[in-house]
Amino acid sequence: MIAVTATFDPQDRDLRDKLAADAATLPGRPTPESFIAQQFIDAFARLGLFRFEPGPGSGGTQLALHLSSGAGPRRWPNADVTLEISLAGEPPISMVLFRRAHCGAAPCSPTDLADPTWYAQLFEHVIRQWPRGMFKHIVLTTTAHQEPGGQVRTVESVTEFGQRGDNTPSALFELMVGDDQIPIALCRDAPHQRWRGLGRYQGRSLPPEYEPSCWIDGKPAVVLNGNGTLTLVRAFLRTPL
Amino acid sequence: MSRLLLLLGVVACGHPGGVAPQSPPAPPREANETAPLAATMQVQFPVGPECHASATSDTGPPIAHAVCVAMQPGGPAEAVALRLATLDWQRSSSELLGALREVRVSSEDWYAVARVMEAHNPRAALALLDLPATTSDRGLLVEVRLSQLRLARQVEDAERLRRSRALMLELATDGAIRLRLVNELAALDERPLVAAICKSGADPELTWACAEADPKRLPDYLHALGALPVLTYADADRLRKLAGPWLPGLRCVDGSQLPPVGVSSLVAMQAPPAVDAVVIYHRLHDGAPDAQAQCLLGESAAACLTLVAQGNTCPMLFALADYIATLRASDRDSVLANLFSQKNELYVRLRNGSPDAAAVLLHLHLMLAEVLVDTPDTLKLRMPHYHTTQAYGFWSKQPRTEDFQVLLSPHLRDTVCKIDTCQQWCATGPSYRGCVQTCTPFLPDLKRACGPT
Repeated sequence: MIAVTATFDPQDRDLRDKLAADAATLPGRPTPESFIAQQFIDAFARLGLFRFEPGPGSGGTQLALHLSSGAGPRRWPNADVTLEISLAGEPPISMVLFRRAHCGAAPCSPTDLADPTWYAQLFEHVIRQWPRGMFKHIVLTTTAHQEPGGQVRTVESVTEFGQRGDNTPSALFELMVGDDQIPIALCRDAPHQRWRGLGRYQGRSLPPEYEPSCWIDGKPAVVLNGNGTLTLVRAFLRTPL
Repeated sequence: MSRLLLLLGVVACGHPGGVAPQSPPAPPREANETAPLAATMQVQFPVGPECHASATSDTGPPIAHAVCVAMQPGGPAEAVALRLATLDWQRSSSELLGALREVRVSSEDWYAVARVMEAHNPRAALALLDLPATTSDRGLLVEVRLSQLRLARQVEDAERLRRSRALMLELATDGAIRLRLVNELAALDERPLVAAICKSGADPELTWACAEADPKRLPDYLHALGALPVLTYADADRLRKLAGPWLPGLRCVDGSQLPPVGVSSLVAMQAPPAVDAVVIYHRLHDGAPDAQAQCLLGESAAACLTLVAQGNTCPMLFALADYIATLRASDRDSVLANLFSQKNELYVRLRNGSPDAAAVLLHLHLMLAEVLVDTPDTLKLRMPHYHTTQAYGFWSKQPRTEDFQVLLSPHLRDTVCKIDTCQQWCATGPSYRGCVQTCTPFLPDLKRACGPT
């Protein structure tokens, strides 16, 4: 579970006040902080990889969103509003949430700052870009085990890794055992990868609860021995908004 | 594996095209003589005597023979592939494929057989790939298409190569697949194909991959790079290595030799800059050390002013304001004193220029008003109400999009809009001779700028 909190730079009172006024018309009258956190959660939950909760949570992984429109005396609406995403252990990711008024390249900012489509589109673009290292430090499992043919098995179901009904990988991962690492993908019901060791692959005797991968990003240069840590390299959205 | 052998065994040994049933019985096999998969197969579908005879005599219909060879102990699937590889595909591939289609083997199994055949007979492997190419499994289809393309190049089959390239494009509809294709095809130096997949240009999913896969077309990707939702100084070095020749301002990233970007030299550029350079330089300043940030903003401002001076569109008309805002106060004073001089050619050109040119000055005066609102000063240039009226004047030349008051922060509005008379005006700033007379023409504009209170 990832706890998502949002904060505003204390000097951006005008921005927060405007967002509070706009959000006051929404059901539940969310605070600006809870509104921003929820927009993030709504977008990133679509990956099917993580579970989020708004607020500080109870000591698990913390993800902080911070809105600020600069370090000097100029503030929104005469300066761009930057959103910074910080996850413990990872370099923060910074992006422009709103451009300043009269920015010249419409749309600069939505008229209604509490318009959910604004945030949905922005976050979808962030997911599609997948900035380097995003969510890389979250350990998804430590049970990943690579077999000689290249398959990777994990105790968890592949649905835990964002893979839904079809065979196309929905994410790329990295398996690390000790200092060695390989890129992999996980998916279901596409057994052609088992033929990588055609004629030689004899199978292994891992417990049946281990669920196999079925697709590998390139031939494995090395076979990693022992259980490894699986982390995310990038994920893909299957359907646009 | 077992499924392949099972089905091949059923079809080949039980099919009318198989070997005559009068063959002698097969010799008994030991239970542990084959690999586990073959052993499983043997239990469910014992090898018929006709297969054994065919395999040992090297006669009979080719497919049945190949399959029967595969039924022998020791690497059965490889044996299928190797045997199929020896057949005369060049002469009779359609006949062979027709026969093999009758064999109910899964697409992934055929693909696996073809991969083994590659090393022995690439033409045969290429032909055999027509079988798994009918799969509905898109992950497998990517593998098949890439293999087809690679083999078609290897055997120099122009027609198949053309077809492979066309079919590859049909696959490129899904994020993971498109990204994989771009990377794989770049490794194969299939630049036109990469460019075709990347044609949309504005998809953040592919922007970096496409730009890096096809650097010769980098100008085509500059707009998409500038439009990425996340683009900061952390990307500067990566971008400089990729786009240095097209984005000369990225020399700012090398902090050892930061050229000073003075306002007087902002429009001294010889070559017209790329429109997207304005955006990229500006965005890269986010997160940069102070010197690099100022340098990048200077490059952004210079590119913007050059575009405006040439009558082109600048996508960030506030670039000059942002650059001047980063200057030290003493530098800013000298720059502004120079810029606002009636003789300054740049200022005059902007003041009398297009709405875009006026917007550059609108942002400049707005920035100064906001920056100076809390700064007691001795210079006329540092009076926020003066800059507010100037900004209003240039705003009046803009196509109307919003009220001017929207552009003013509440704090600035609270401060400057309290001024009702020139005496108050002059009392809030430096006392200099003729202040009231200077103020007189500006005061009505200040009232209009502030709007109804």
